[in-house]
Amino acid sequence: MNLTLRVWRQKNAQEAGKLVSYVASDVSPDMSFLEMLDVVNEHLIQKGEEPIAFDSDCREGICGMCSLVINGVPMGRKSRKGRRPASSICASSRTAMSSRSSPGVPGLSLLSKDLVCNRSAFDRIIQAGGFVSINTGGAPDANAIPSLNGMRTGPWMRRPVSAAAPASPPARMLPRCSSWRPKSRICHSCLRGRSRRKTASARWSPEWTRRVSAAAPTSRNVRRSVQKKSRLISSPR
Amino acid sequence: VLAFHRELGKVIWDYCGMARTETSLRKALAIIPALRDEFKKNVDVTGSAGDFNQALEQAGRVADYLEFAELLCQDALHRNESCGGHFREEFQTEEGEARRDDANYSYVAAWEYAGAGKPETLHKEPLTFENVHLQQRSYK
Repeated sequence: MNLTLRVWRQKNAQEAGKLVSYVASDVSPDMSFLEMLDVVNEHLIQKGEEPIAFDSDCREGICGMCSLVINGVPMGRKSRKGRRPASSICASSRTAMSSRSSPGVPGLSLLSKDLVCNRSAFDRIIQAGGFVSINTGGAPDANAIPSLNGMRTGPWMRRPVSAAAPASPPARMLPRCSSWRPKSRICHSCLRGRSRRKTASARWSPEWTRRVSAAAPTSRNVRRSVQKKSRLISSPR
Repeated sequence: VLAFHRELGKVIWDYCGMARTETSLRKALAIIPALRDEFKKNVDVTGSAGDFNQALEQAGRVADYLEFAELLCQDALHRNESCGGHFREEFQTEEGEARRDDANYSYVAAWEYAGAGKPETLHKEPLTFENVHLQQRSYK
């Protein structure tokens, strides 16, 4: 199948970025978005153009490294539950990210390149000892995730269409630099399942730095837990 | 870069895979340096060195693989024994199981880089077992 992509291209944090159209041809419906990008990049390199820079690591929905916003949806709960068909995901764009990257907006300052964000702020928090206590559960086996509408593949792609059928709307791909909130158990970039626990993703919000400080064992927190324990001990049975 | 990566992967898979022979390893050792020279002369890396450049990063990794693949084959050739999945077809029991040579090869090998074009130096760390002793594995 062939796909039209609109990808955010930006050389570095200083320069302006823009959406560029690419055609991903001969894409297998079994590919994840990242694998499809690998193929696109291979063609770009063959043509002597710069490949699209994008982040990925585990490629199975555990690490959270693949920082892509596809059609404004970093993760889509609705598609997971089947309420929203995969085809409409291709046409939708609804997050803050999309509005920020509308034409005329200069380059994103937190960007390293194309779809890669500068996450050094995260490193600084880790270095400072910040942490969040979240039980992320186990990632479900990718083959055990039910498919949608009889598709063999993940939620981002339409049911494979014949060459004669009208082309699907272009998939818009943007870096995940701005505020976003994962809502699903499926990673839209690599198509693998994410955390089973809703609370884990719900806590991961733009205000998460505040939550980090709340979760850190401050003297106040420790005192509270001690008080709680002492209450438990002294309470009559 | 990708083409070199794939070609190298194919060479290692075919000639230094789970079952390898002296002939296949020598064949790999003849191909890999040629491939490496070709890589050094003709590799096409997009972008520039000053920018965030994933193509350059990948090229660096493949350059590393091209060097390590040769050492991998040399080490495989050096060990005249089969050890589990590192199966040299010349060294097998009558039943087709891996035949280890614990008298001569019961050590961990570390190869020291001695400079470009020079053979690496072998350092051995012997494996000694005090309580449970080595024996032929049997799945029967």
